Amino acid sequence: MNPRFMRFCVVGAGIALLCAAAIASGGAAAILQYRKEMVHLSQQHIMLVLYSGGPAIVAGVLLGIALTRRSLRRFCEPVMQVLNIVTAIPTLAIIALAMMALGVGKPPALVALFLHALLPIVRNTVEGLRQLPPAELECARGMGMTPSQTLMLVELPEALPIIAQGVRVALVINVGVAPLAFLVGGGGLGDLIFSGIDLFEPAMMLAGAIPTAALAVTLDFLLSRLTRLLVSPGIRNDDATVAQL
Amino acid sequence: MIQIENLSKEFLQDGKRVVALDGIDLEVPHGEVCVLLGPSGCGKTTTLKIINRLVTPTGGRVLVDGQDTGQFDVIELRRKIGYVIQQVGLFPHMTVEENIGVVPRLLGWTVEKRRQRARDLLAMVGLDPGAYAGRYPRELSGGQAQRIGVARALAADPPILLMDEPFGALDPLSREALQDEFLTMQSRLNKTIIFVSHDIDEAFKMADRIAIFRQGRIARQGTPDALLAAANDPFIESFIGRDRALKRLRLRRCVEVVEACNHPFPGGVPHLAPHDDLRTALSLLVEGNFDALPCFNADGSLAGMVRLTEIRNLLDGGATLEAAS
Repeated sequence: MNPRFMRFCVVGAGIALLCAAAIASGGAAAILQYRKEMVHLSQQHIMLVLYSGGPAIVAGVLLGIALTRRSLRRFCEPVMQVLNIVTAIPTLAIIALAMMALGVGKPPALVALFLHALLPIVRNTVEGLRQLPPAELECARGMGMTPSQTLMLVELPEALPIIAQGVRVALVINVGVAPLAFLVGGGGLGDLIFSGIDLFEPAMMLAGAIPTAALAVTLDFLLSRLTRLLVSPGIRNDDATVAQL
Repeated sequence: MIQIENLSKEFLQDGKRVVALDGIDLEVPHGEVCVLLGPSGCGKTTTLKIINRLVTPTGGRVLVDGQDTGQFDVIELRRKIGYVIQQVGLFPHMTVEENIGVVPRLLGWTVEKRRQRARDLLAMVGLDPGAYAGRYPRELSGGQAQRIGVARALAADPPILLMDEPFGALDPLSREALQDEFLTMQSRLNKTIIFVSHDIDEAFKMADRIAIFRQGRIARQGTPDALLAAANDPFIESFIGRDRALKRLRLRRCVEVVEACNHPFPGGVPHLAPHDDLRTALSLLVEGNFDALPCFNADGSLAGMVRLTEIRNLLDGGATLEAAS
């Protein structure tokens, strides 16, 4: 089946499910009474994702590049193992640990989200760079590219689709994990979700859950568009540009 | 001119010392094609990579126009040496035009000049610039991709070209075609070329000079004709095969043996042309059991005749083979 059609079906089913839940909980009016909070907390939510995800992209890509350089290659596996372990720790536990060091509020939430986003980005950067054909890179050197020119003109543009996929996964997951920030007073749509649960107020809960889901879907869509824009048609993975031979 | 002096390379593999090159001496004059010929693992590619310093030798040196390559800035050196590899190594995210323009871009040429150069080179390697400049490598066949690989290596007009089995991955038909086009191009460009191959026919076709490698040493070197003429050399015989007389005839043209013709030929005999190779002539002579065949110029005038005995005489006269290093 066409992957685009499949994605359309999944998103459609999700929205239908949310609408059904909304109707069951007393209709749109009940949810919309929280619209001021929804807007305000959505902004906070987006900020949480961006302020943790932005640094995670920069740090993750740089770390991924560093780990694939010839001189640092032997540290690659150990570092990846450490990151795997960090990611295996439940986010809630990381938030709790971070709270012990940084107190309550946004900082522990941002640290936890940052660590959570790091692994997929580093892993995809490393994989993206590692899968390039050695002969091609040697050819680039043989033509007289400096190491940084090889990186900027050949390695990164060619690894971009895989790196971008890692970024997309990391940020979309972060949107879903960010509600936990509420537990340390970090704000975001978690406020509505957890309060709604605690108060047995389904409408309040949905006022947080629906925008969270919508944010995740929108972000995913935007990032996939951005990737398409940035990736060269020569390596883009779609049918339209594949060989006419 | 490229001079290779007493080049050696050793490296460690699983704690054992492996000798890849054991004292290579080679001289390639300006404008010549030198083919390094030999089985895989004999040190041909290593020699090539030492010239553009992708590999550092453990001993000896390489001189380009009398200057030690070790003294050059390595990046500048490489930009002055065209490099073509078997895997082609085109960058898949760049269009054909961008791929050809890589070295010019590194050298800081303007976009306009790069584009013009790419178009000129595409035309030179026999691809329509309008149709191919904007394509991506995955939209090319193997032969087209390697044509562009060659064009890319020539982009900044380097005096030297290193080619590592450039046509090795192509099907026999496109390989022949590319070899022919390459020879035509070389006759105009006059580059100094070192060409690695394991294909004996290719080597004898392309080379002005051949160095036969064996286990990190040059076992024999000389012009193709001299190598093929070296009778009683068991190594050459085992390497080249026992049909070396035919291989040798393929390198010679009818024009070299044509002689004045004093009698008319009966109608219906096959006609030769001055640029036909002597293997073809021999084949026609033997096939029809002729002693001689007429040779006609392109304008239809009689150039003379090619006699079987002359071909035999040519094979008897041997060029001298340089002593093995």
